[in-house]
Amino acid sequence: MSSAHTDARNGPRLFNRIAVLRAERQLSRSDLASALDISYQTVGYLERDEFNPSLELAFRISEFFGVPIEAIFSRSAFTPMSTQLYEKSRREGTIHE
Amino acid sequence: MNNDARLLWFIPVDTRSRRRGLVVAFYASVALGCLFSLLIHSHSRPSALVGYYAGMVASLLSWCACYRSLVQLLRDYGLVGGHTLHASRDERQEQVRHAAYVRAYWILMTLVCATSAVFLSDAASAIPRLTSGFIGRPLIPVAAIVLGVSLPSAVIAWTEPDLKEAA
Repeated sequence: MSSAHTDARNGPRLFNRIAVLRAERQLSRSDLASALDISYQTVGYLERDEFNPSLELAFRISEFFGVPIEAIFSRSAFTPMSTQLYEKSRREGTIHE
Repeated sequence: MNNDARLLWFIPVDTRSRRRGLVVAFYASVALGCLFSLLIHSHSRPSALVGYYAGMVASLLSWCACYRSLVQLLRDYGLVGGHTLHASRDERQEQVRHAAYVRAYWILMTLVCATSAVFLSDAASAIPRLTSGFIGRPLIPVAAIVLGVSLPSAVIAWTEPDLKEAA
């Protein structure tokens, strides 16, 4: 087993960006839940990384947000999106310090 | 069922501690029902018998009220209800349900093994004692069936976090 946290009920911990993606699109948990055909409590569990979705649900989430699956789920903790964007912009030279 | 309707069943179950109280009350009423059923057969005084029958009926009513509240609560969580597989439950809820069934199976198996061990320690009189225990005391085998049927719901009610906490 990797160094990732494990949950007795749900196996190795999988990190995700669902909360950020949902907030960006100004959706409530209920909106996302009805779009994905799951309960709103399950959205809460997903956002807190307390539940690992099946591959099928992960693909549904990816299709709903229109971003690749690896941009939403990761086996290691994500760095904040703003930091990643800033780093990328710095590398590309679009931001000058 | 709305909150007012649920209060008709006497037991508010909006927090985990209250749900645990409900589980304890349910099994306590089952145990009391069995106790009264045994007492009815060991006493013949009419005045005592009336009391024991009243006690048995009261515990049966409490038993039904507790079980009804328990099932309603779990319906709110989307964890019971629906006669078809996966009916209106998502994959996390299915997972919680399966885990509860597995836990309930282990609890039940532990109880069955413990009871068998007690009977095996005195095997010669075990079968006659077991059968004579059931004759005229239908509540005891019924309670054993109720235990098996209700355990998964009780496990979920005992372990699941509050709805607000989970959201």
